[in-house]
Amino acid sequence: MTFNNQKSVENLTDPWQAQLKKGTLEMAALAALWSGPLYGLEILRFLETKSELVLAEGTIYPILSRLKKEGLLTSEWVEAEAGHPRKYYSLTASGRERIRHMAAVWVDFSANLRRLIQPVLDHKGQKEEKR
Amino acid sequence: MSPLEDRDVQLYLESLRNALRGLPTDEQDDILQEIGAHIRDRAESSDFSLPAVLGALGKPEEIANQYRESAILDHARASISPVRLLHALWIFARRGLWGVFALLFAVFGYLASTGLIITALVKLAFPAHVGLWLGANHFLLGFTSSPPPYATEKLGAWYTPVAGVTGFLLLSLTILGSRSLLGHMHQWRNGTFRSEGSVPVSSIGNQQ
Repeated sequence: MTFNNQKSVENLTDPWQAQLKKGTLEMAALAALWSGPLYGLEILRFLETKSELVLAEGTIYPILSRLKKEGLLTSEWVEAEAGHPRKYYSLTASGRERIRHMAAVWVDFSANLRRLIQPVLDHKGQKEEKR
Repeated sequence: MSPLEDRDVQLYLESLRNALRGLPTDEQDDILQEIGAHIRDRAESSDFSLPAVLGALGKPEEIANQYRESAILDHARASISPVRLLHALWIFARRGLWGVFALLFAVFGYLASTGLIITALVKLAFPAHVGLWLGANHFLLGFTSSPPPYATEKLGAWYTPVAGVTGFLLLSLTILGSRSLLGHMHQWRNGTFRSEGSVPVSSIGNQQ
């Protein structure tokens, strides 16, 4: 049995990027549930299409479990008409409050960082123009 | 054939079950059912081969470790047991400098506070051998087999209440401080920037 895939190999080469993804995965998971209940794989698919946040897919489940213990999420097993039961997660009132707060902090934070790295981005532009 | 009947999948889930040992059985069942549902959904709905599905999930031991660490920390944060608190701090101490500081704080706190409480009791049995001696170049606090001749004992019979109360306060401070540090480090590690207090226990949902 092999557990390697291209994604995780790429990420291993840049620990900073991996750290960054890890740090924001919780916020992303909460954001994914903003519009309504989803089960684990749906959350992962949502994150895959909207971002490239996911490292190992299995890591989402302990995170969801912890968010639930912190009272930000609730979960419920729902029996499908055809197929097997799936565990759906939804935001609690404090979960909604929390992700709203996180989103506001994140917007400020990233705008400030963007200003900070602007010279780097400008410099890159100049170099490319010279070529 | 259902993906869950595949041998590799069964081996994977078995490793996960083994790695989850120590968690409550109903929680283990819940986790296995959820990961099992994930594998079925991935395998049945996409072009992923089973090995790729398992590869993308990550190692079972890594998944289990995250669940277990989270459980250890949760228990420790509500516990007064030094074993639980030190175990949880030990997990962080292996990760970084802040964890090492927190562990040193807790170890020092436990040793100093139990030392004070024990000597407060021993003072009752051996009043001449326990005390606080101060002299020109002497400082001695606690138990000694031969009291220093050039220093005087300052507390006398007050030693027991003073050391007992100080020890108790220091012990409480160590427990509360360790719990609070665990809470903060837990948040930092997971990358949230929690500024307000933690979520009240009453709002935690119990739906399964």
